[in-house]
Amino acid sequence: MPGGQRERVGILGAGAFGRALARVALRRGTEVVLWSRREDVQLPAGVVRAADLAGVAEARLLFLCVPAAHMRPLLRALGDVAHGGHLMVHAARGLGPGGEPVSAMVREETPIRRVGVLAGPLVPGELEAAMPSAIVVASRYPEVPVAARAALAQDELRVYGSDDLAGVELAAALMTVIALAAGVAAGLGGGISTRALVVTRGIAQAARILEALGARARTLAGLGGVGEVFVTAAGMESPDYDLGVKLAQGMSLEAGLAALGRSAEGPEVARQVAALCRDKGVTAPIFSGVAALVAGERTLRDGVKVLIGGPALNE
Amino acid sequence: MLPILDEVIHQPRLERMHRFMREREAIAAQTARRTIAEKLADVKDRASLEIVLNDVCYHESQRFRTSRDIDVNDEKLRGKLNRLRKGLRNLSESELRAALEDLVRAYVDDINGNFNPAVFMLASRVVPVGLSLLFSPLRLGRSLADLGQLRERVLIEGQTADLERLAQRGTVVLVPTHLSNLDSIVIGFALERAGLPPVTYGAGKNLWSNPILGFFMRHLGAYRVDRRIKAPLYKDVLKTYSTVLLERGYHSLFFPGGTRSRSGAIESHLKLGLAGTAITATVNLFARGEMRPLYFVPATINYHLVLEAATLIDDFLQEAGKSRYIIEDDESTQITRVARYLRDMLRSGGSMTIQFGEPLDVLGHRVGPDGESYDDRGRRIELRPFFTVGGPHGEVRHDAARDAEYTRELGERIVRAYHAETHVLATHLVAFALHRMLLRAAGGKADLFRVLRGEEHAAPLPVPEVLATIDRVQQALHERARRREVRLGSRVAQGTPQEILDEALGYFTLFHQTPTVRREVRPDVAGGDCLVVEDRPLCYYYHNRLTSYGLEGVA
Repeated sequence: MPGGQRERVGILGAGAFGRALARVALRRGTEVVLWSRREDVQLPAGVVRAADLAGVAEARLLFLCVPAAHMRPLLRALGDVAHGGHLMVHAARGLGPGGEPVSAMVREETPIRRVGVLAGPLVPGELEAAMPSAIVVASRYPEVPVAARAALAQDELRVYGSDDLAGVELAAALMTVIALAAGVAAGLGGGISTRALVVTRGIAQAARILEALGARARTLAGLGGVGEVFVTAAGMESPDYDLGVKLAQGMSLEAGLAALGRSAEGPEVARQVAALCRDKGVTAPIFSGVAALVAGERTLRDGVKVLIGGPALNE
Repeated sequence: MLPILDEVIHQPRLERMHRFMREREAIAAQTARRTIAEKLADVKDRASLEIVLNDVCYHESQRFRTSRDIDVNDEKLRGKLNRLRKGLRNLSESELRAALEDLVRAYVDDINGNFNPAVFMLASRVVPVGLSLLFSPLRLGRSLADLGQLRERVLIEGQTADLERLAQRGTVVLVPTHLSNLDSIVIGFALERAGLPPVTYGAGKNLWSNPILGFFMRHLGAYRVDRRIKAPLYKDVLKTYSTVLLERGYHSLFFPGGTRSRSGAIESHLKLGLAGTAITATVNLFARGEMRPLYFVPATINYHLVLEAATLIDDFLQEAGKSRYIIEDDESTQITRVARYLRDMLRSGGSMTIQFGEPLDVLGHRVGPDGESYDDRGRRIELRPFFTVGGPHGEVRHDAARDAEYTRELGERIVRAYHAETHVLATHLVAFALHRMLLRAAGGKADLFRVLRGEEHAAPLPVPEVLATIDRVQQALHERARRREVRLGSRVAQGTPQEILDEALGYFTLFHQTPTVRREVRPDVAGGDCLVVEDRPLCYYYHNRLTSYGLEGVA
């Protein structure tokens, strides 16, 4: 490390992703202090467990690795100990209850201004096994990706930067819906070409949504868009894909989630995005189709048609 | 001297200006030193130094080729640059440095003005004459009475007591909306009346040659900004000048809209170059361990009628509007027009309302009456860590990308404040209703420009329908005012639609060349009582004040 001083990061959340990130940082030689609301979780060796939020807030760079649903109360409590010197990177895939991105929630609940999002085709097992892979960290503040790179980058993990915070946040959220749709397509007996149809049309529709919200559609071609959906729509590491399969098998949303045993962001994102599309006049049949499906307003009696929409026009 | 005039330029105000006068040379010298040092730190070798100078030569030769009026300073600069451009390639590095220093000093002098204390003292005694000049078409006795009224008719709202305290604790950066060249004068009156200290102000160079405004500029602690100069070096000098003023604790006035709103709409895209200097100054102050904070105070200036409305909207509607930054021949240059405007406004009982908004720190946080910053959850916030590297107690550093983003976010907060602090007046509400009705009458897909030119046939607008539209928009405005998204002038807040209409029509027949709207009895229309919009662009102009509140559907 330059100057002989080791980087130090704080991680909030000890789920599969938080723990994997901790191992990656340790491998880079970065000190890790981790806070989890659960005390029974086994932490990777070398990770310092923070006694409280003030403990984790001693690090300058914070990674927020908790599901979007648990975010606001945690951020509110963190806001009491956080300050303007912090840099925060969140890894949430979902949106807040009003469809707002998690970065907006960070801004509302804490004094932290320099916020970023981390996304990309992350497979915790592969990350830990040091297989070459890449992530993107997006922030309007260039120091945020720079700090994340200093804490995480290594031969096996490339850390790309981006200034399209809104684009990467939205892309990562929208990809959960596409993964769910891909799961439905697979569960209904569709082949790889059916999934390709769902993914491709899903990305085209996502591009319209990003543009309608002032983000750059090109961001979808990056790690947070195509990169991420390449993994999840293949049925790997994606609770949303698994949920889609269960829905296709005729389970209700509640039953599907219960069988899954973990949270999935796709249903909530689909609901919010469908409402957003109605407001902005954006046509996005895959997103409104998934929203209708999880709300129980549509069934899969007509097969995958519920996701595809009207007649095929120009691409 | 007449007491009322004496009051206008009263003593404490002069003392403040005396300090500016005394320090002016030191400010100029510090600006030049700092700009030169920063430039030389940026350029690593002879080649990049040559590029900087070549850039100035290029931009300035463009300006000299196209600009109509070139003053004595410009002539000197032109000669200097001609010589420089010819010899640029053959100059040694030290000669290039000398040339850079020379150019920076020339720009600093241009901004600082040739300030002569003797002239200042003389001029300050002549000010009252200048004020009565404003009213020259009128009898002297009348004009003095009007002047007294003017001072009463500038209404001030907002927490001025808090602002007074903040101005003692720190440095205030006043950032008002900008509609008229009268704004800076009205703000000057308002500050004085509210017991707030005067401010320095970067006035467009064109205002200095304006026979009326130039007079005031010399006394408002103004420095000169030449918006025709596009050379980046000039902009650097200007920003440094502003930074130095702020660091020295001079309260400042910026119009972040950059120029008067051409369309009449509330500014939503700001030019934040000068506002950004507040962040630079803050970092410098922290780095030196000085704890004098800077406070942004958004303000709105609300007029029933705008002096230059006709010229501004005309400019907006022409393609030229976007590029023509400087209008040198509008109503504000004509003494008789200004005087008539003031007289008409005063006689009709009109007023101008300055609404001071909630103060913000340089990052856009709310500032409490105690001068401390608070986040959206009401928690107190330390500013220093936002600018440090390596932990909250680390070293304070400049970071251009970070500070640009902080400035952009500050701009968003200021725009939000502009909307929330705008007073909706009868003229805005009625113009909004009438313009929407004209559009509707012309059919859903009507081309705005055809409607404005009167090419689209539109039936006269029956008064009962106008009143109903006013009523709907008024209800919707009440709702937004309850959510603190806008403020309502007293007539709009409490008046009936009929009273609102009457007040607006009173104003509309008042000042502008043709009455903007007039009543007409049309036997072919049920009830007979109709309104005819005579000057559609002007109606559109006043309508535009309300375009960002989502009221189109309501109307």
